[in-house]
Amino acid sequence: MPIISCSRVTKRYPGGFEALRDVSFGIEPGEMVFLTGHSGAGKTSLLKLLPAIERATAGTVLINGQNVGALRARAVPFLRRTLGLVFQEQRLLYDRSVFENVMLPLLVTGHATRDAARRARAALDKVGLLARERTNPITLSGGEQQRLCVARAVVNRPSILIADEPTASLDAASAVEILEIFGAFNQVGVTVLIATHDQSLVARFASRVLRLDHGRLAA
Amino acid sequence: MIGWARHHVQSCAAALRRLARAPLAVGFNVLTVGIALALPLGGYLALENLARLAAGAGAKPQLSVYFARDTGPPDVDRVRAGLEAAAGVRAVRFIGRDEALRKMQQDAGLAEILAALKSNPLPDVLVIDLAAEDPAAAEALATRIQALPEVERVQFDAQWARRLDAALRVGRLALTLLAGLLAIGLVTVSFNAVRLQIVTQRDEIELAKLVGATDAFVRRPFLYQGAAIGVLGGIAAAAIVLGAWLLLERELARLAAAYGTSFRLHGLPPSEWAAILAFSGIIGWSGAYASASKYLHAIRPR
Ligand SMILES: Nc1ncnc2c1ncn2[C@@H]1O[C@H](COP(=O)(O)OP(=O)(O)O)[C@@H](O)[C@H]1O
Ligand SMILES: [Mg+2]
Repeated sequence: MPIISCSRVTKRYPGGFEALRDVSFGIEPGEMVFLTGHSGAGKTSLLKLLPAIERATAGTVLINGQNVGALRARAVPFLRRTLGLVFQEQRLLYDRSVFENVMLPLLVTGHATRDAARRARAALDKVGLLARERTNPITLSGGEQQRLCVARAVVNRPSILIADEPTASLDAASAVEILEIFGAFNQVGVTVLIATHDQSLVARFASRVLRLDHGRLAA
Repeated sequence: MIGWARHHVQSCAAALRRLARAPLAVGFNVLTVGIALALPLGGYLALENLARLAAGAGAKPQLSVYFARDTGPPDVDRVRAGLEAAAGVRAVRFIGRDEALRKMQQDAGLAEILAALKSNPLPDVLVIDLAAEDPAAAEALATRIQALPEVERVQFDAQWARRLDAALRVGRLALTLLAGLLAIGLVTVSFNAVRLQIVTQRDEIELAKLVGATDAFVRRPFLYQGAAIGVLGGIAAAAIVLGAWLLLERELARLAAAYGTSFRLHGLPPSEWAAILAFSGIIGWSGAYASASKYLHAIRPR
């Protein structure tokens, strides 16, 4: 059974613009999938349906068999805890340290403090930022900030990792580095879905590609 | 369960840290709450002391009946018997003019004056303890006694105390209304403080929601913030009132000493101070709750 499945999903924004039309696909547990397409194709719109940031206008989105569109508001936080999200805009908190940024998801889920600190350091270690835990994220380079976002996304050990343009503002070397980190998580069984408009990066990986074109899924 | 308790501790600590980060703004809020609460609190203390004074002066209704000086003992006894039988009278005590004079002579200051007088200037007196607390009935009885030919004057002893008592009751009501109005005002102080805080923490709130924070989780630090403003305001109010108190007490003691009496202001028992802090805490919490309910809900991650 797919861990993520969309069937006949349409997303129409309040203005009437249809960002997604009749989109259907499934992603199996442990898969790594790229979502590509031109700017404005609807990648971000699609990714936002998964953690119920936006709701589909028509069609169904299932995660782990759960109908996301039908979730009550009270249940949404618990869905989000099963997902690791790397956002297009990084959303780092610059009034606290690197370590505290990674701690946030753990505080939210109420993990034991000592265990949380251990987990946060493990996540920072995996993205090569353990030495920088006390610094402010503003002092990190673009690639490092993006790696920090990845650490924050995985610290809760989600079964699904979703990233929106994680390489957008990075130089080629940093971009490859980031994708390799995602690859490593996928190696240990995490389902990974990455949206990117950068075809050349996708070509480096032998992963399945879903291509969006003006809101429709192309073959 | 443990995680939940821990989050309460963390929220509380986070709220206090945030307050400490903006000491000036917080200071103004706390001072606003403090000054506003000091008003009814000071009034309450003043009223309680007045009430104590009134009680000490004997709020028990009493009539003093002064006989004309040429009234003989048989007439006095007749009036006394009549009064003892009257409705609403609990006890009648006789203070003879000779006894009254003896008592006054025991006072060194008065003895000199009395010695200069040729005869006893004092009248016989009946002191009547009334059973009912009904001022109208007491008034009626006083009028009836006054009409007796042997009686020179009737004094309604508790009258001023009763009037004070009535005034105190009005005062208490007015204070309660004032406190209620101010409480509503203070709710808005906390409401606005929390609203500002929510606006400045918008990014953090959005992010917390994106990583799976429940509404209750996001709301909690703000509730603590509101409660903290309230409690700190309550402490400020207590400090203001106590400061005024100490100044006043010294002056009052000096005044009382000049009249040869002693007078002490009475403060509140610790339980009432605790209740006041709890009350101000609840005010702050309520404002924060309203603010958080209104503004946190509007923050949805994009
Ligand atoms: N909140 C919104 N309201 C209205 N239109 C939107 C909104 N978000 C995105 N769009 C439109 O939907 C289309 C797809 O956007 P998006 O999903 O961000 O594409 P991509 O991520 O592939 O660049 C764009 O034309 C964009 O202008
Ligand atoms: Mg996008």
